[in-house]
Amino acid sequence: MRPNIQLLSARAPQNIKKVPFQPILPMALRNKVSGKYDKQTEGGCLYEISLLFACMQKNAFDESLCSHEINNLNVCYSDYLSKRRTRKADQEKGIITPGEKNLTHLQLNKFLKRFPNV
Amino acid sequence: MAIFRTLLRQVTFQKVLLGTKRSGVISLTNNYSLFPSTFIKGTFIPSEQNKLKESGELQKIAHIPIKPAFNDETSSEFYDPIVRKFTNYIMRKGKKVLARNLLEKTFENVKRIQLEKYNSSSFEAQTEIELNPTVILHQALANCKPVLELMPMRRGGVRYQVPVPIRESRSAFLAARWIIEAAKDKERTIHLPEKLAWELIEASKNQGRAVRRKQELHKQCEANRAYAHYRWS
Amino acid sequence: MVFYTQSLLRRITSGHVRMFGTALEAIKVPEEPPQTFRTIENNPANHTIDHMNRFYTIAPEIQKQLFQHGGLTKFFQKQVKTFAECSILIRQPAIEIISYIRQSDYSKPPNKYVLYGEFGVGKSTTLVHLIHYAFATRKILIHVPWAQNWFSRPRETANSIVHEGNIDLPIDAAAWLVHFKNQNHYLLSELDLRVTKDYAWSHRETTSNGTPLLEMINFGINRIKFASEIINVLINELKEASRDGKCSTMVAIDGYNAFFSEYSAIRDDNKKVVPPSRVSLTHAFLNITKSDWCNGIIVVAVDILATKDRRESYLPRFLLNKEGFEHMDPFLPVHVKNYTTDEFEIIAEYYKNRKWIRDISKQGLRELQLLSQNNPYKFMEYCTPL
Repeated sequence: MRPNIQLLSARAPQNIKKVPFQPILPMALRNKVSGKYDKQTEGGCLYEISLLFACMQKNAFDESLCSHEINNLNVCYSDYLSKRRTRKADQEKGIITPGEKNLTHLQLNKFLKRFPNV
Repeated sequence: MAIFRTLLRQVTFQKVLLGTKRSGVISLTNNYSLFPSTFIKGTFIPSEQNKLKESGELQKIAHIPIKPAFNDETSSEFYDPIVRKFTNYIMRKGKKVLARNLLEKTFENVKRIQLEKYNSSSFEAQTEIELNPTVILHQALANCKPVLELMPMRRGGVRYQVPVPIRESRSAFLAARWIIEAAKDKERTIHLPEKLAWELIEASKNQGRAVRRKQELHKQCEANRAYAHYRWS
Repeated sequence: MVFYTQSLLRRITSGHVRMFGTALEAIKVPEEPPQTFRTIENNPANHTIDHMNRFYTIAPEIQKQLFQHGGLTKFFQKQVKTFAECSILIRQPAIEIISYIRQSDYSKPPNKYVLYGEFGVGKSTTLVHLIHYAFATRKILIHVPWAQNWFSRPRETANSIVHEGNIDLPIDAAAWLVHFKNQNHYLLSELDLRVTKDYAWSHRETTSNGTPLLEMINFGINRIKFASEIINVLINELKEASRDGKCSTMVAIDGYNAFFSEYSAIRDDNKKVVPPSRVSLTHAFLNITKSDWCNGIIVVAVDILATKDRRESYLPRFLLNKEGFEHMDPFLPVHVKNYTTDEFEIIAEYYKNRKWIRDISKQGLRELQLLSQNNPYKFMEYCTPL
C-alpha cells in the first residue's frame, strides 16, 4: 500500500475555512499620493553664478567690470522667481496644461479625486 | 482636576470658534489694509499722471476708487522716492521728523563739503565734482548694492553658508543699512549727519566702509562657491 | 504810480552799474556769464538807492577785523565759509538808514534807529551792512553782537566793587573789550584818543590823565577784574571825545531789548536771580544810548529771541517795554521786512551762482517762495538740503 502523499509532506495545507484571509490594508489603490518625493530638480542659475565668480576673480572683485555677468544673473534669477511664482499659483488653482507629463502631487490628487479608483 | 481644566478650555475654544464662524470675521489672508482690495493704487507724481492722461489710461480708471497717497509722498519737484525710503531706514522708534531732519542736515553737510572742494579746485576739476546731494546718495547706494548673499542652509546635519543671488529690493535695503551702520559707528561727540555725509561721499566714490563690506561679502561668497548648488537642490 | 516810475528810474541807473560790473568781472573769469545780481561797489560809503537789490562783497580782511568775535549770524557764518565770500544783499532798510546818516546834523544829540521785524528777516545782516558803513566812514564802533548772551550764558560772575549790589561779568566784559579793540585799534591809534581823567583801580594800578585809550583797554583785557568798570569809563571817555569832536561814534547793539528783560540766568550770592538791570554791563550800554552826547549814531535791533519772557509781538514798543521805550525815546523805528519778489529772485540767482541750488525749475522756485513766505531765514533753511 502506497502511503498517502499528503501524510509524507512536512506540513499539511491549512484549512481555508479554519484560517480566513484578513486584508490589513484595503485591497484597492488609494485616491491620493503623498508629496514626499515630489521635489523636482529646478533649473537654477548655477551656471550664471559660476560665470560671475570667474569674472570677479579675474578682476579682483571690481564689479564695474562684471556688469554683464551681474546683469545676466539678475535676469536669470528674476526669471526663475517669476516662473516659480506662476507655477505655484497654477498649482494652487489646480490648472493643468494639457499634455503635461510632470504632474505635482497636488495636481495628481485633484485628478484622482475626480476619477476615484473603484 | 487637570483633565477638567483642559476640557473646559476645549469647550471655550470651541465656543470662540463658533462665535467667529457666525460673525464671519476670520480671514486667512493677512490683509490689514484699511481699503478693500477693489481700490487701486494711484500715482501722485505729475509726470506719471500726465503719461496716464496722454495714453488714455485715465479714462479707464476714472471711476475706480483709488487709494490715497501716504503723508510723506508729495508731488513736489523735490520729492525723491529713494530719499524717502532712506529716511525710513534712518528712522528709529517711529521718529520720522527726527529722521528727516538728520537726513536734511546730512545733505547740507554733503553740499558744504563738496562746495568747499569745488571752490578750491581748478576750473577743469570743478566739472567733475558732483554737488547735488541727492545724486550723491543715489551713487552711494548703487555702489554698495551686493549681488549675492550668504544664507545658512542645513544639509546632512551641517550648516553651510550658501551663496545665493538676491532680489533688487533686498540688495537696495542692504546697501542702505550698511551705509547707516557705518555712519553710526562713530565717537559720541560726532553727530550722525557729519559722519553720514562723509560716508555717503566716500561710498559715492566707491570707497569707504560700506563698499568694503560689500566686497568682503562677495569674497566670502566666492570662497563658498562649492556650496552654491545647495540653493537649487 | 510814483513808486513805479521810481523803480523804473532805479532800473535804468542800476543798469549802468550792471554793465560796468560785467565788464570788470569778465576779465577775472572769462567763462562766467554776466552777473546781474552783483555790484562792484564794495564800499558801503558809496551805496545809494542805485545799488539796491544787488550783492556787494565784504573783503575778507575787513570781515575778519569787524566780525571775528561775533556779529554775523551763525548760519550766515557757515554760508560765508561755504561760498568763499562774504556777500550781502543791499536792502532798503540799510540804504534808508545810510541816507539818514548822511543827512543828519551831528552837532545835535545822536539819532536813534531801532530795527525791528519778525524772526529771520535780516535785522542782524542789516546791522552788519551799517557797521561796515560806519567802518568805511571812519567811525569808532561800539558794537554788541548779541546782548542776550551775557544774561543767558554768563561765564563768570562777581560782585561789583564800585557799585554796591551790582554784578560784574569779568570774562564777558574782557571778551567785549577784545572785540572792541579788534574792531577799532587802527582808528584809535590813528586818532590818538587819550584818557581825560585820573582813574585809580586799586592801590597800585592806576590810569593817569593822558594815557592812550588803547593802553587802558589792554589793561582791562589783562586785569579782567576791572574789565566791567573799564567799559564804563571807556564809554564815558568816548562820549566825551565825540562831544569834543575828536571822533564820531557809531553804536550798534543787536538784541537790545535784552537789557530791559526780566529774564536772566545770573544768580547772586544768595542764589537769587539778578535781572539785567543790576548788571554793570547793562548800565554802560544804556549810558551810551542816552541822548546826552552828540556826534554819534545809535542803531539798535530789537528781537523776539533776545527775551525769554516777552515774545508775543515783534514791535519795538512791546519788546522794549515802557522802561526801554522811554529810554530810547525819541527814536526812528525801521521795519525790516521779508523779501520782495525782486529781492527773492536776486537771492535765488545768487544761490544758483554759488551752486547752493542747481537745476531748479521755475515751479520749484515758486514752491520754495510760497513755503518760505519770502522769509530770508526760512528760504535759506529750505535751500539747505537741495
